[in-house]
Amino acid sequence: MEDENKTILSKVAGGVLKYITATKPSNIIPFKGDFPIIEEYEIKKFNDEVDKTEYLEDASEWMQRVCSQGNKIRLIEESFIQYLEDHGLTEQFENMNVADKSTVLVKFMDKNCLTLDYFRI
Amino acid sequence: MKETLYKALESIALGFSEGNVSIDMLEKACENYKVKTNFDDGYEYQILVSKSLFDQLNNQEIDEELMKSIMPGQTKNIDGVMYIWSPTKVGSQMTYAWHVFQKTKSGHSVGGGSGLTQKEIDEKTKMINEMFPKDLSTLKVIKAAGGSTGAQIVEDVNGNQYVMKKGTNGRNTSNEHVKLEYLSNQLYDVLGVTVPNYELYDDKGTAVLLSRFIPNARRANSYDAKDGKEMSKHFLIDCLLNNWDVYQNDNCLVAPGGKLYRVDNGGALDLSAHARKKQWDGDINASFISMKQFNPDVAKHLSDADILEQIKAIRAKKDYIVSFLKESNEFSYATVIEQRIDNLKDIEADIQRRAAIKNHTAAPRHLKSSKDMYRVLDKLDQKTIWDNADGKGAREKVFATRKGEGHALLADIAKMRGFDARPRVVTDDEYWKIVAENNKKGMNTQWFRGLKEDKTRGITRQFVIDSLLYDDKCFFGTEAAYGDGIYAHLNDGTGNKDSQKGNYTNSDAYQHAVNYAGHRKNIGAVIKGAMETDSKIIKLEELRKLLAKDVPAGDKKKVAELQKEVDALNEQINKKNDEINNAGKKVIEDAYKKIHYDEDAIATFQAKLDGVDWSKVNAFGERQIPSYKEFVEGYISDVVKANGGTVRQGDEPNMLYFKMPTGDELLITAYQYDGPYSIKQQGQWGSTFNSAVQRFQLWFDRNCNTPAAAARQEALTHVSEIIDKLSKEKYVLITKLDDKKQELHTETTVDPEKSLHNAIYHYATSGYREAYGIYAALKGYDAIEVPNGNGHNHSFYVIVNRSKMVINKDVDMV
Repeated sequence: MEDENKTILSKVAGGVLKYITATKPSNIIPFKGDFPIIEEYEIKKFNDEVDKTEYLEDASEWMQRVCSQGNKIRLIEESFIQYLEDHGLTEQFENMNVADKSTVLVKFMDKNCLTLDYFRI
Repeated sequence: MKETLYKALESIALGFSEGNVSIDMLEKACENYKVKTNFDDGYEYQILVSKSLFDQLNNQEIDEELMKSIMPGQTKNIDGVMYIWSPTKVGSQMTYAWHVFQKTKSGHSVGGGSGLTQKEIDEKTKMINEMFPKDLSTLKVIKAAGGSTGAQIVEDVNGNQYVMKKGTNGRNTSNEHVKLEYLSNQLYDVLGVTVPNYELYDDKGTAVLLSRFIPNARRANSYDAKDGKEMSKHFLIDCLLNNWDVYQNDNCLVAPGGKLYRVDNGGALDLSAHARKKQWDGDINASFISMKQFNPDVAKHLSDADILEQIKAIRAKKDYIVSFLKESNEFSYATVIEQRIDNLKDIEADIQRRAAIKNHTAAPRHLKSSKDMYRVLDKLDQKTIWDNADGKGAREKVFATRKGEGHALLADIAKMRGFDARPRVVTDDEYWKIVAENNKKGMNTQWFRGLKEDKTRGITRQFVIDSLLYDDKCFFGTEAAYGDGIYAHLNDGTGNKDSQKGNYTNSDAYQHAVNYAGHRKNIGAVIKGAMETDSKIIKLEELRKLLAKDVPAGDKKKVAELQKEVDALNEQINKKNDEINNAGKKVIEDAYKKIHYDEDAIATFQAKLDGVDWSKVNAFGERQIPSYKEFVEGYISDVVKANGGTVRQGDEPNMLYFKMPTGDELLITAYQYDGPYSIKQQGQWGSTFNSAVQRFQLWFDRNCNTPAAAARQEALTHVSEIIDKLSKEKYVLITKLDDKKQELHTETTVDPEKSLHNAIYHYATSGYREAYGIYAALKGYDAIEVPNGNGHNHSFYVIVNRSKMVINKDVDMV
């Protein structure tokens, strides 16, 4: 694979560790999957690989998979936070009942070509 | 024996004409007879078949000798109508003739003949996919296919398997949904994207879709470079067809041989995968932006040139697609698809737009005094920061990010110290003087920072540059592999560390900064900088030691010992994990070896097949396809033999019989491969294929890929004992680890919830290296120096005090 299409590992890894080690990756998006994606005892293995590998595409299959899963969670959550902010709902959302929360979430999904399958990690 | 077999065939044919035997059974019996009796189903025989049928259609009496030559159960397809040579009893005599096959006994309509009058049959041009069963009642259900629509895996009388979806299962599906999936498959087909072969049936008002089941296929993983690149090749088409789900779950499969298939396309166009209406209009740019944003593993393989190329390819087929939809009476889809193709120009416009670069003049900076900047942040300061931090609980607070500032906790400490003030921006001449002076003093702090735009978030590169140099609000980033902070490449490379105006671009650090800036695709910039000479910079290892000494409480010696034991147990658990993962891999390899299943040979064959255009003709209209010798005697024979099968010559030239260790034999003659009826089309608008080769593929699936899938499954069942044992051993280690951690926790009494310092210590020593950036700022360091980070041969700076950066106003656009 040409270098110019490769992803710098530290850039991705740095942003996903907190998501992949969480038992509940998000408080606002109902992600479904086997969490945490990596166990605490695997953090060292994760960091060691970041230290010695420049590009994600040259990392192990395990690394590629967990980074992909973590990045997916991160992208969707950050995007939804932005959506709430753009619509002035950041503070209100927390206090909404679940029915209203799901309405807001579904509107966000429709706007962004997302389906429930995207929440399956 | 031949006579006995023939009599048996005749009985089956009579049973068919009396409605007791299905057409699929009769066809199969006819085929079996031919194989068992070495019947020459070649050019000469086919001429007899054609002649007899045309004679009948032209109301001419069929020659008696001719009639005797035709096999009972022989089928012939003319202009989309299926004819079958079958008997009717007239008195005590059996009289054979060609009969139109339209409906099965149980009333299933199928293919071109369904529901048509004789006149319509005569005019119809649609071709039936003869590889599919004619009679749904002959299908046997093997198992549920999974998913929410009640799809099933079914098998026909020949052992070919399909995924069957019915329109009135009531579970997340409907007739409309099934027909839409059929339409989506047709559109993919027309656009040249691979989907499994499919056929639509009308089963007494219920729409039924059969799609060829691909045995031993695996899920395509978007994070895998090869799979991701393959998936990206038709990204724009996926956007055009609004197929939001295409890269999720197992909606992309890789068949043995490596070919990528898009399956389960019921979530395209205006219906979701669960048969609910979704947004569907001409705004393809919105679909493109969203699908790109939320499928980065696939989108990253697309350069601007790739996107433009894909747009061009779609535009070239616009009239074709729209005509197809109109001919299929799908006028509303035709309108929207046409709009979406027209609106591809919006995607082009985005690509072609580039931000202008303006010169900025920096306003005076407001800096805190050195005394204030580097004062010790006491317990009260730390409590203030901690109590006001974003998030609930230590974990949220440590990892919180804030719009415009990035890592929130670091930003708060930086604000308290004045670390967030703007950098010193200097002219180009001033910069090179500073670098030269520093070098003379032996204080090399020259660095390069690569930045790039992020179109998915509307961030231009100019914005990113301005943010660092001129914005009073400091952005500390949101990704941190070694510590929260602003990252820069230190020019101390062991390969090249040229540092002067004429040669700095040769340096290792600069080259890597260019990579971070997007590899010279004109979407990024490299910023040239250095640290102020009085900067307090600490090496990462020293910072770690400092933190280790700075244990909130407890016996330091005991803590160090316990930490060692914890690290050792971590190592053992990871090794155990690797053993578990590898156990499965090895048994599958052994199982494949045992049955001579050769995935590489299958991939080689697939590559050869993909390289053939079956519709290719020269200027004289002559076919330009590989010869029988090359393809059948060559490629097909090779893959069969590589997988443990045998090839034998028939009695005549250009006749080959293929056989796998188990299963039925397959005959391919030169006439079948390259005769007048060998090249067919999937429907009027679909892709062209070679029917003999397709028969081979189905046979190979039945006799090779399906047994391989079964062997794999069985191997995995046996390996479960080994995995259980290893898992138990792993569990013992995890229990020991938990106990040790508990001891360590007790010894250090670090409750991260209690204070900022505790939280930093807990997360940093647990492997969350982001926390080191926060610790450095807390302790009053301006930057961390990370040696050989990320596999590079030079160091990184993680800068937590922006005011100590000296930046060259002259930015390199790359």
